[in-house]
Amino acid sequence: MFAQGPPIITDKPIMIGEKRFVLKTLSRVEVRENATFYKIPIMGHYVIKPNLLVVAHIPFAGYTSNVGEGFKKNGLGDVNIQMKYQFFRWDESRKTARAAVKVQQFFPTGIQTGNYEISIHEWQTFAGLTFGYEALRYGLGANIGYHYVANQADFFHYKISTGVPLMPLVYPPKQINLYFEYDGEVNLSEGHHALFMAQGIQYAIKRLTFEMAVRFPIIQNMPAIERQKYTLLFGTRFII
Amino acid sequence: MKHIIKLSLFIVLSVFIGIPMNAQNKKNKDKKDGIVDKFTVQVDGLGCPFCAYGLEKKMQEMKGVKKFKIEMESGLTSFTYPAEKMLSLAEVKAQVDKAGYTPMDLKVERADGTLEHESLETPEIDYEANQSIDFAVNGNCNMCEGRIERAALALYGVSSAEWSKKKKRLKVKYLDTEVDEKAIHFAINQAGYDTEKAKATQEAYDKLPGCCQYERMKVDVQFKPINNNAKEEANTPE
Repeated sequence: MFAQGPPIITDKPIMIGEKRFVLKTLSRVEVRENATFYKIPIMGHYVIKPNLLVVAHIPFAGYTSNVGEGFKKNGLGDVNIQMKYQFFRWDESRKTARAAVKVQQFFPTGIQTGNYEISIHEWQTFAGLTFGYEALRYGLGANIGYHYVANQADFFHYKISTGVPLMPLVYPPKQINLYFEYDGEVNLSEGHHALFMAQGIQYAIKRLTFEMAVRFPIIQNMPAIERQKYTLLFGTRFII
Repeated sequence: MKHIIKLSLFIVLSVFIGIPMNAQNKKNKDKKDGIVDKFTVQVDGLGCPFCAYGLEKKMQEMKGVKKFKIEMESGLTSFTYPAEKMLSLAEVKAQVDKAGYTPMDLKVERADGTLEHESLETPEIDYEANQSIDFAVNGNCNMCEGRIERAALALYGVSSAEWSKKKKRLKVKYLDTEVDEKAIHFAINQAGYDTEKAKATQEAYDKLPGCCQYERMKVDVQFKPINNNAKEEANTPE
């Protein structure tokens, strides 16, 4: 009998108990044809009620051009806040299914990198749904959402994830999990579609979790300059 | 001499009366934590150890919680709490709710030996039982107890169901115009448990968590299910 933890890229509707605080970081290095982008956020998650979560992200962002003299730019990214409300909960012995609605507001506090996932100094709003099913043997997650970006194209997002545990179940947690996640986006103005597959590994011990993932493109129906080669994600989370 | 006899009698009586009193007082007395109440809660929705961690942190907010344990496979959570604080089951239930999980079955063994029990699945009863039966039901643990009792209580017409882990017997009170003995046996079979007169299907048995998979014995089947698949299961050799 095994267990799994929270997915790395896909959002999760399960909250960790009223008045609990989780400090998290998930750094991102995105390598494109013409530049390498990076974002290092500090994220604070606070559960107000068992079904209501608020989050604040303060990112440090930047990029290095891969052409010419290698122009660099870095600084504060677009600070954002989000609220997640869990509207559905189904609990059974050793398993649970939950669904939540998520709203995220980005403020134009950051540098302009030309990559909205890093920082673009524009108002942005994301609204979506997140689903999760967890049993002791496996976990499944899915997200869909609409991302509004002021003065630019809007996006439709989707993500799915599944976790494969490598160690037997113990409590307090001591686990190694493998994740397989797919995430995609559709540029609603241009009709461009991108689909990525990420493979991640997570090590969790008591209240501390370390995780990393590599994400590769499967479909990139867009101009070559916007195409990604791969993305590295790595971070930790700590339950306070 | 009279005083010596009186004194001897007093000492002998004190010893004989004192032993059981001390034994009673020692109940739920922990060397380190003093006199404690023992709580067990069946929690649904614990899909991973991270969920369990959130639950533990929430429960630890109640100052005095000691010996906190979660069995991930069964969702059975147990802890002790100082008896003098008289923590109620309602308070424990509220705390589990705040952690974002579902408390299904709550029990406390008070320091004085009294038991309190609350099950969320107990339906409202608007009838009075006129029959009482007592029969053997196989099972292992506290989680089996909850499951067996809930299976019986879920039937309209059953007013009470109590399974003894020690004796492996279930006492059921019911109204015979609403439900019959056969239906009660089958309801328990559906939960995965063999009774002395009816056998659970292998499928239902396999669905039980590892800790609840009791050793199956030969059943003298008296109540045969109508379902063909279940019938085959019931007739298969041990």
